Amino acid sequence: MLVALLSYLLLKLVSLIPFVGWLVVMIIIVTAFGSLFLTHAKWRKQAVDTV
Amino acid sequence: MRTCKQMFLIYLLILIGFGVEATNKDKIKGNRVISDPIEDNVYIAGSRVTIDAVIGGDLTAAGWTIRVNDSVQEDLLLAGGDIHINGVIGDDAKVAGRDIRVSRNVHGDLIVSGASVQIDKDVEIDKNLIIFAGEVLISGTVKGNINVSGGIVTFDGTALQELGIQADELIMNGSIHGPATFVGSEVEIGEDMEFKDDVSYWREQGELDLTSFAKGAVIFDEELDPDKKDTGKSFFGLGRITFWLLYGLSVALVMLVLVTLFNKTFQKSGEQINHPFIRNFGYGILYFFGLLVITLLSFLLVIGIPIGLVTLIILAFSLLFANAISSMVIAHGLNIRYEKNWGK
Repeated sequence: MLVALLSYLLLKLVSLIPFVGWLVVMIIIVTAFGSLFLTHAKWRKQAVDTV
Repeated sequence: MRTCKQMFLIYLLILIGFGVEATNKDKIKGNRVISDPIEDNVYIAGSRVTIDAVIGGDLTAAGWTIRVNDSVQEDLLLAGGDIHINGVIGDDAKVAGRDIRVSRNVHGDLIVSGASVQIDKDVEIDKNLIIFAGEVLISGTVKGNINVSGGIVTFDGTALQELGIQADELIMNGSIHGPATFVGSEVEIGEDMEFKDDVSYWREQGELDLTSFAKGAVIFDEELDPDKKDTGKSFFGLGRITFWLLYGLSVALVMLVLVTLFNKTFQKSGEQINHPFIRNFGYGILYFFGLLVITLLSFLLVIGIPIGLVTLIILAFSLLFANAISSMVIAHGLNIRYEKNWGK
């Protein structure tokens, strides 16, 4: 939790930097959601394969 | 039900915020009219929403034009362009829109945000009135406290409790029974103005002669100057510290809820984020654009609106909590990469 909170604060701070900061945060967010999406997709695939 | 309402409100606000209603003005089909009384809660959306009958429960509505012509016996939640409330509201009313006019009594709180807000002369608000708007005209009677933040504000109604107004241009010509605080770059006091209690104020041009209008003490308070409030001196003030403390706590709370509900997903995605960046990034792009495209397509095809609503809520949730969710994934990713045991 603490590391997550620190990561959150770091993301917030970086997002205060115009353009470069926004871009970096956007890339990080998109990548994080990509990994969540892939995790979910893998689980679904496993579930389908099991059935 | 409350969560459902909040999600619906998020949807409504995003609908306005992204200007979807403007671009799809003619595509969100249908004039929705309720002409028979309904005893239950009502959720309704359309290009034009008209309520011509009594609603026995809550009314939650979104539309380009909204007309509430009959009473709503419980809460009212509206988001739209042109909104006119012409029926009595039995409890609280929360309204966001462009042009908002209230012509009938509200028996609870009235919270309004819009470009222009008008409270008509014979209207009575039984509890508090809170307004954030560009142009505000208050002519009715408010039995609770009044808190207004706006560009051009005209007050010629009656305030039975406390009043607080912050505006660029302020015209005061009503009656205030409780303590009054007002701040404005330009302040004009009409000849019918009555302050029946103490008055604190600040205006850019300097002091006003309020002795003939006020029965209580009159204080020209330099501390109310908005520029002074925003100086670095007060950056670490009690208000700011409280704000950041509450902000931090709310973020922590969101994260706690997320980790409690989806800990396994975050752990797996922590493993996944350590895999090649480009693959994750590509799927992330696919996720956001995919949701956006599905949402827009669903709204274009009227039959797909329910699917569009669901995807819009998912998209809204993703955007609202993007930083918190990403932080959770990053933390789990770091935990796995460096083989630490930071626990939950």
